[in-house]
Amino acid sequence: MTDLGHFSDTALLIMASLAGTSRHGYAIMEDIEAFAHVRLGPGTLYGALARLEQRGWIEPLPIQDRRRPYRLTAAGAAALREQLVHLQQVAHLGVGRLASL
Amino acid sequence: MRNQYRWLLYLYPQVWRARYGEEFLALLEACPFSLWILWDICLGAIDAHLHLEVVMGRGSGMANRLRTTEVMVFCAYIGLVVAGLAFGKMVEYDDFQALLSSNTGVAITYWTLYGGALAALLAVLVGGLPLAFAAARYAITTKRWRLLSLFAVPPISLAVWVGYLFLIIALQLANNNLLATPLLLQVVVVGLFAGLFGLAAITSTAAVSLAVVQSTISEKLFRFARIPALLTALAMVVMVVAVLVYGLLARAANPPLFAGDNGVLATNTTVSWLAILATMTLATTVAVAALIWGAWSGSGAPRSQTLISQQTS
Repeated sequence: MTDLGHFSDTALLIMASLAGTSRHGYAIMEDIEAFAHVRLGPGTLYGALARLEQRGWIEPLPIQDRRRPYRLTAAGAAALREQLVHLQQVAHLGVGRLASL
Repeated sequence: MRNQYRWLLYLYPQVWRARYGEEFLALLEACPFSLWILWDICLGAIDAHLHLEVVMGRGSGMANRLRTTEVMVFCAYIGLVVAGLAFGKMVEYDDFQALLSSNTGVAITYWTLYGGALAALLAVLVGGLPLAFAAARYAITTKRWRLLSLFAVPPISLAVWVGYLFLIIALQLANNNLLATPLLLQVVVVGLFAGLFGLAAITSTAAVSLAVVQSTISEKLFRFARIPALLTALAMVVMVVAVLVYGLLARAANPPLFAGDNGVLATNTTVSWLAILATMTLATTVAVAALIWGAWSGSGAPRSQTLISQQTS
């Protein structure tokens, strides 16, 4: 995910948002704000969407009322799972170390 | 409502607009407009221009990294060439030429500088020409005439500069002695001459770089250009050291030479030498930093940071 540069955090949030269902741009922004309390700008969102699409982690669906939904691909789901497991390990380790203080 | 935001789309490249334009516009209409949103869109547009390959879906990460590195080395090289030309102009006076024939150390550094310049030029031609030809071929085969027109910028810039040079010569002939004209006019005439040269160098470099950045070029060519890019940077280091040592030796051998006003545009010689040296050092630093960045980012980061990228690469 370091390939995504400063879009890596945004990409993770977008993939997490698309993990349950397909969503269009504005719905992704709203969802991320709801679960992560992060407000993405349109430029940042589409910069990350383009990169995720280029890597084949998400795919566009047919446009609906001028809005195009995106969904996670199998490769994207695998990548997200591995990244989340890794983050979980880091969180577990961090919490464990904090407990020993 | 739609037209209210449509102008913002024109901040983005055409290929980006074709792919994301309509849905992006629909998103903008849903967002409450603010300066922060505008700022974010501007940053997104800059990013889209810089990373057009993301939308065009062309090239691997490796190719894009090599492309960025080699374009940066090329731009840095042009910066060094401009400073080098100023140095050549500065040392063409008789006093410097006399020192060149009488002082072995000065002569060695002078010819080392020329050797470095020749090596760098050859390396840039060997590595850069195939990329430029490939970019031009891509523009022709895909009928991207705007892209192809970028290659017209260097000859047009050169023509403008040479045209101005002829104008100065004509004025000189008409007035018989341009140096007899008021000082302010001389400064304007000569300043414009130098300014146009700088502008021509900048626009030409930017145009050719943009053409290479926006074209789909085989990764093989970028891989091939790696060694010439490295040699260019090494030659640039040699040239910077040569200019530094040349100045120190020449100054030690003939101190009054550096106290006069034989510098660029009749400025103080020492100040000119230092400015040239600073410009060359900056250009070389950019070239070396680009090569280090290219090599470092290509070597990969620790596993803890690359879980997902490894999986898909």
